[in-house]
Amino acid sequence: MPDPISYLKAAIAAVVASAMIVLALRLILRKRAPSIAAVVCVLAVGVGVVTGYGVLQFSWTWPPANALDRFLMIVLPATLAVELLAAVSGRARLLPSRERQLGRSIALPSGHADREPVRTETEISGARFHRAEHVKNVLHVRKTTVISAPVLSVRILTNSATNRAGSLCAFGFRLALYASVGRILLHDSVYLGDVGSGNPDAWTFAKTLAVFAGSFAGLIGVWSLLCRLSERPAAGSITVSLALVIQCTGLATMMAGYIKGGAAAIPLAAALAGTTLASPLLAKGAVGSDKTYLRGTISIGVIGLFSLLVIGHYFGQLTGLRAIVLFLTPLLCWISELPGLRLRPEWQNSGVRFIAVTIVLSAVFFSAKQDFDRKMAPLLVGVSSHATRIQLSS
Amino acid sequence: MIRRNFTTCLMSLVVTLSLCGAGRLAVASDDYAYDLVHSSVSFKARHLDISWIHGRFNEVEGKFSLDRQDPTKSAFQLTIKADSVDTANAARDEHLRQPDYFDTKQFPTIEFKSTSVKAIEGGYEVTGDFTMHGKTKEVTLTLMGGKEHTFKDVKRVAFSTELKLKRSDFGFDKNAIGPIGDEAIIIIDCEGMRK
Repeated sequence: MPDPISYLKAAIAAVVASAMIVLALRLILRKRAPSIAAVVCVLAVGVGVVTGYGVLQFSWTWPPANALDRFLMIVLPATLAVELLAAVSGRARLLPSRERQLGRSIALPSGHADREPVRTETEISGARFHRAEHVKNVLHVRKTTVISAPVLSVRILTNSATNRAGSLCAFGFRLALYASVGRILLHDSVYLGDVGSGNPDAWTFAKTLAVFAGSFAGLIGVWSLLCRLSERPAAGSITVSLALVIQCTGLATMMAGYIKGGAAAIPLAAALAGTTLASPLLAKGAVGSDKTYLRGTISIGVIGLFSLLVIGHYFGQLTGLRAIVLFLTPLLCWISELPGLRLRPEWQNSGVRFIAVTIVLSAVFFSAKQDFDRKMAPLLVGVSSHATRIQLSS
Repeated sequence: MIRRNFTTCLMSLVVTLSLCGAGRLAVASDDYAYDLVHSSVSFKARHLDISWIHGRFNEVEGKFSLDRQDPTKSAFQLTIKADSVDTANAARDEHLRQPDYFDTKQFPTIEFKSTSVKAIEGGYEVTGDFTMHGKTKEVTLTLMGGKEHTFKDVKRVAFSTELKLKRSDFGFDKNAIGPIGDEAIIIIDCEGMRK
């Protein structure tokens, strides 16, 4: 039976744990915190998720026997590791480019790049670099360390090579994970059994290939579109929308009869929400309106959502249509980029996204509730013949 | 030359006959196939600790070999298709197939394979590995019966047993052990047949 109290406890624990991690690292790292915001966010989601599942008392036994265990013990840790690697290499990648721009802007006007003293500040973070802020930063960094242009050039070249390798490595791992997540979740299931052994659920080679290729394409598509959108203002609304979709997936899975599979969505959604809500603390001191540090959080959300849908559909009774609609719902955040909505303030963009996502989620929820009332509810209250009908209300 | 060939042939015949005899002795046990028509695997579990819910598995396969002279050489094997669970309520059956209960897409079968057999009064005590929900545990079944009957050239033998087990021992979700009790009783009535 569902236990709403423990679900609430798990959600609160996950939100508080992830927010506390953000807050603690912000206090400990102080000015350095914005430069590693992406790393902090991934760590916060990880801690929140582990705390939430701990409160729900999910078992962690190796080797994982079922799809949910494989999600918790293989897919989720692998995603966190890949996103941590991507965040670390991404953060490092930003610094030389910033240094490069600083160097160029100071050296070129004077025409004496080799002699002009160039200053840098490693605390600077963020991806996009606005001209006005750039000039402000150049003036600011003049007060700090002095590095000559040749030294800076060497540093840029060595760092670029190392960081590019790190980024490529992270991207490669991410691709590998996206390609294999479906296979991992369906491991040892009837779907991947031998077709000739009289197993009616076994997929043919062509169907297996189509399902995995489609999953890979879908994952890459949704992930890249959401990451692209995160470069626009109000990136936090994307992760909160993802959290809402994950939560709705959990409810739909539960109403379809798979209680534990639905409960697994709660800590993940809560950790994403907690991290996003606390993340403005990290943005303080960050350069410009940069919000790309939420990319890792978005990736974890996309993989988590996909995994929960696969588990709910292939092992539970979540319908295929509902699973597809739920998986594509976060893309509705792009609605804020429509002409007429695009240049509105950040809070209006967030509001438009939430409204669009909530409308679809409400439709999915009520349709799932109707199915629940028709199929599952009679199992709880009982069914009697007309002659012996029990008046439950009396 | 002819005499030598004759001796060789005679010796070959003797060896062949000896081997055949030994083979016949080695196959002293009778092999039986599970008769799906005259057998059943059913179960019952407590509801709210006040009543029993009954159900059965409609698709079962199995075989056993019975050695009356040396029962330790007997062997029993049973494979239940978890997907065939039937509690006379389609919605409940769908629910039971989900991962909170039998997780039939992940664990399509429930299996028993004997590891040792001992004769007892009125039947056999069979110890073996019982695998359900991906977990294997050693259980001991007390098979009562074993009477033989030949009907229309088909030799039949039958056994009955009950097995009490805790679902929590087999990795069932604790939240699914609430209104439906942890302990379940599996009732096996098995008729084997051989021509």
